[in-house]
Amino acid sequence: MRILPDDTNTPDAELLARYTRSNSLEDLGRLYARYMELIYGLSLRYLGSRADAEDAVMQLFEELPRKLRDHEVREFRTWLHSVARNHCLGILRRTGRQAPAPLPLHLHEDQSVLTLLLDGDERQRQHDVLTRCLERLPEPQRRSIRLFFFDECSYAQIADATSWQLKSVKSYIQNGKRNLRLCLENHTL
Amino acid sequence: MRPTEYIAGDRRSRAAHDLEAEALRDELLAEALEGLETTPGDHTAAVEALQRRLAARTAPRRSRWMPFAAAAAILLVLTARFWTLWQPAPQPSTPELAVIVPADTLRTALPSPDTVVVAPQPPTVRKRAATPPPSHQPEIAAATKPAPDVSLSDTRPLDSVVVVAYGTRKKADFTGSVVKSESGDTTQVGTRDDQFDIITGEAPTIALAEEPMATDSPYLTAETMPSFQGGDWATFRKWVHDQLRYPKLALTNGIQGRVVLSFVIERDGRLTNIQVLQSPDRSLTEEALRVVKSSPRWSPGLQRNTPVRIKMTLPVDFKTP
Repeated sequence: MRILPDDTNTPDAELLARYTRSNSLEDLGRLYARYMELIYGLSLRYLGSRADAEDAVMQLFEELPRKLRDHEVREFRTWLHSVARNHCLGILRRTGRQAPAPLPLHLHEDQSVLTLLLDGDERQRQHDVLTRCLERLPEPQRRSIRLFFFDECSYAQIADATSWQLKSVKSYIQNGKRNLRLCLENHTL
Repeated sequence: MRPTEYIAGDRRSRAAHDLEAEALRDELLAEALEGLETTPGDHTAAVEALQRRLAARTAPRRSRWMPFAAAAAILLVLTARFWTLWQPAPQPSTPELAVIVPADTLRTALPSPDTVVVAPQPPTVRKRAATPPPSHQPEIAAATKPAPDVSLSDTRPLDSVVVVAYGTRKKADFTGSVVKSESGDTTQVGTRDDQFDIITGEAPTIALAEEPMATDSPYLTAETMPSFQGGDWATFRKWVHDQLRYPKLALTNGIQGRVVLSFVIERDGRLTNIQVLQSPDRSLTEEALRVVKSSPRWSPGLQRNTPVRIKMTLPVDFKTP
């Protein structure tokens, strides 16, 4: 069984440019193959059934050439995400179904706090303001945040260590992150 | 770590953490993980299947203009040929062979089989042979290339050979039988599955080496039916189903349908006399044959506590997802 070979070092933009030049489905397929797993998962989230999701993944691929002609794509990943989501929402609309609630991610708002927590070095993490804000979090949120961002434990490991439910751990981290952001916005680092 | 690995794994690793952290910043990943998490099932296999579908979809395609007339001509050639070879009285002590002769069309639109698949039974003990007499060569002006000669390497005749001819653009393949032919020059001797190209204008001769087989005709039913891996017929059908891999080309072209095979479960539990009774496509036939031939031994059927040969017919359904 053949699977399209992928040179993972080639950036999306280069593969996309290759496709724009060649117009060959094989080039487009090579790029799309990278995202198939994600698009499949996303389709599962919106459509709820494996068969529908598989169809959506293949249908979307068929529509890409036309969409790519009509749009200038700067960042393939973000573009594909929105195209795929709209594709799924279109299917839901046509079949009269409800779309799932958006994920509580608050990407734009949380950008800076995530940068601090994930990419910040030791000195930044020791910063008084962050420490003070962390201390003001409820205990489960503080512990989850520390374990996840500083000790780099996975959700399951945190659940093991604390005997909290996996679901709770996730929401502690979500809420803790939001509370941290609000706290940090009121104090300057 | 890939999302499907994460979902299927135990998620207690640094890699799992990294993916979770990435999902906090990457909405596509977060949505995908959520979808994979909330829908039960083996997503790894589903994603692999999708990758294969994509690869098949984007592969450069063979031209699809193969003329129906050519396919019809092949049918005519083979039909005419096998009709002349059919003889009613099979020799009781000779084995049955399943020979699969796919007839592809040449690019010149001259119909001609270009590959022959021979599927004889395993080890060699003695050889038998026969060649169809040249006078039986059908004279059809439009289709000048001779069909492959299916023969044995000794003067003893075959009692039957199942031949399936495949045209690229035909809806259904042709299945026929050759019974008894005479000796001639041998260009191919096969003790295993074999496949080779046919040179234009030549009629290759295929010799099938055989081991002697039981001569009594098989039962269709017995007091104790054969059992497969401790189970029954349903167990075997499920096993076949699990072993099947949908041929890529058939999947690409949306070819589906039912292959019907028959075979005999011998007293020692081997499957012999595998024959193709019906098939929508060559690739599906080959896959069904591959699986059936790879079957582990059975416990034979019993009649009055004595093992007996049992003939079974197996439908194998291929359905595109």
